[in-house]
Amino acid sequence: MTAARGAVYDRGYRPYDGPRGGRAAAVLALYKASVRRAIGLRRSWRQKFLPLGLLAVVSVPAAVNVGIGYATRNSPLEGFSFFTYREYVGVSSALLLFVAVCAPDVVCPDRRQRVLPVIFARPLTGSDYVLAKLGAIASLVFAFSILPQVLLYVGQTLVSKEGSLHYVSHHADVLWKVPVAVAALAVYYAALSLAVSSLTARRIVAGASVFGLVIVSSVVAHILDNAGVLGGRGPLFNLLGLPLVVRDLVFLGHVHPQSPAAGVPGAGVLGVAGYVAVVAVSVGVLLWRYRWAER
Amino acid sequence: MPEHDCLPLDQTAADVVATLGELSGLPPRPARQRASEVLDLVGLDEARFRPVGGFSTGMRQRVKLAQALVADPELALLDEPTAGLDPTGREEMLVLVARLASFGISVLLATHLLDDVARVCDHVVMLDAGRLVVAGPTETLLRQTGKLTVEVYAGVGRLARALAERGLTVVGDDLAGADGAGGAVDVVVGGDAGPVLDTIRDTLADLGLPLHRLSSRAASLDDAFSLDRGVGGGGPDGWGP
Repeated sequence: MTAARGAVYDRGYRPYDGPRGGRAAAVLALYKASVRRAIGLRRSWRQKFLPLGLLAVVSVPAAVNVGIGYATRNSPLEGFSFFTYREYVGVSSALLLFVAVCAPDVVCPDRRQRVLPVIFARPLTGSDYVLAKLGAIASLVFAFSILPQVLLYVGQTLVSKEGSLHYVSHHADVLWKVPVAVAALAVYYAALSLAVSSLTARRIVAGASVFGLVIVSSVVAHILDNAGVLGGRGPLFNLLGLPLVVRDLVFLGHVHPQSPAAGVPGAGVLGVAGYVAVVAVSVGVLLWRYRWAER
Repeated sequence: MPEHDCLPLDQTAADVVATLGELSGLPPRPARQRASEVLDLVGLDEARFRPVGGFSTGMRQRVKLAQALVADPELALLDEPTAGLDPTGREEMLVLVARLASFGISVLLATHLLDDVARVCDHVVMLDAGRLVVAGPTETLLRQTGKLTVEVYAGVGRLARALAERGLTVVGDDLAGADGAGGAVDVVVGGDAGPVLDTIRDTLADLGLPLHRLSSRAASLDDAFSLDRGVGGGGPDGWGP
């Protein structure tokens, strides 16, 4: 009698009697899946290249700044810095590129490949879906913005001639201002990019639309500013400028004199109002796009 | 399990099923473990680490079934699970669906393929344009619409006429011209088969015809659907009252 080879074993079905989570667990799972998808985890290297490459690119200025600080620590150039922490918050073009790539990638395929019915067959509502996606993109924008800042801060601390403790004690305010300002930018970019992306099922159209909307808004703001209409409040129509007004308020308590919105009467209040309005409208668009899942 | 495509094409089957398991409330580790188990169950053990985009229609149907089962539901809603499958794939899918009951999973199957329903469903609800046509246990519907085949060595034409005269509905091909020849007639059994069998027995005895075979013939749910909609039911070859 020969030994059986290549036997097929039917292991049957094993019921699951372990713990089960509710809506919160489902939202957390969708959040984690969206984060993984956005940065290309468990996907091919091509999907990882752009988000991780952008992280490297936005970290380069911090590394260069720290390197120069180290090289010039005993020279007349000591203390020279390319930029301040405030200026380093909101590297707008890099963040815009990041959200224009990642936000469409986490919502458009669900609609295009008709995955939404399967997702909403789970204990999830449309608002849960919006919360998870918004949280995922905002977290990533936050992480991608804060990591170069951490690199800059730690580097400057280590190369400081007066010593690390002296540097930290003289820059302690940065430890709360940077996270708050970065969080404000993250929520803004995430809401705006996801709202635009939710309007189409095609990633490329969504990405181009995010860029297009921002460019059109800056052109409109420039035209309004030059035309001198609306009492000189034209710069507040620039979608890229609004979160930078909030950033200035966090760091300085007023709009920076070199900011495009500096000459606008009531720039601080109007800037915050514009920021809140953009976020509210964006979230409203998202909830409206996924409202059918609430029924 | 939707009828249409509903899977992220650039993710592996294991990732898709595990993620949907987590969305159903399973913790991450059990979700991945369950994903492997149910993909193994549906016959995708070796393919589970390949992107779904490279799968055939049959394999995608299996992934769709796996995602429906990953959280061990009490009820699975399957919409056209055999749509787009070749005969072999269809057979394998029906075997899988039929096994679900033994796992303690009730199945609500929506399909227009009544042969599939007859094979795997205990109860049937037939709708036509939103109107209830017929509902009940599958066995009952098949019995109600069943037929008996009476095969004789000679005199099939006489037998058919005699059965029709005694109130039975007889179906057969060109029986009028086959008076003395051997052959078979089908007798429709509306409800209880007992009186029909008695009538057939008495008729055969009265005519002295040699019986070759008497068997019940499997009916289809298509017959039940047509009968209740008033379609068909004694066509050109239908004899009877």
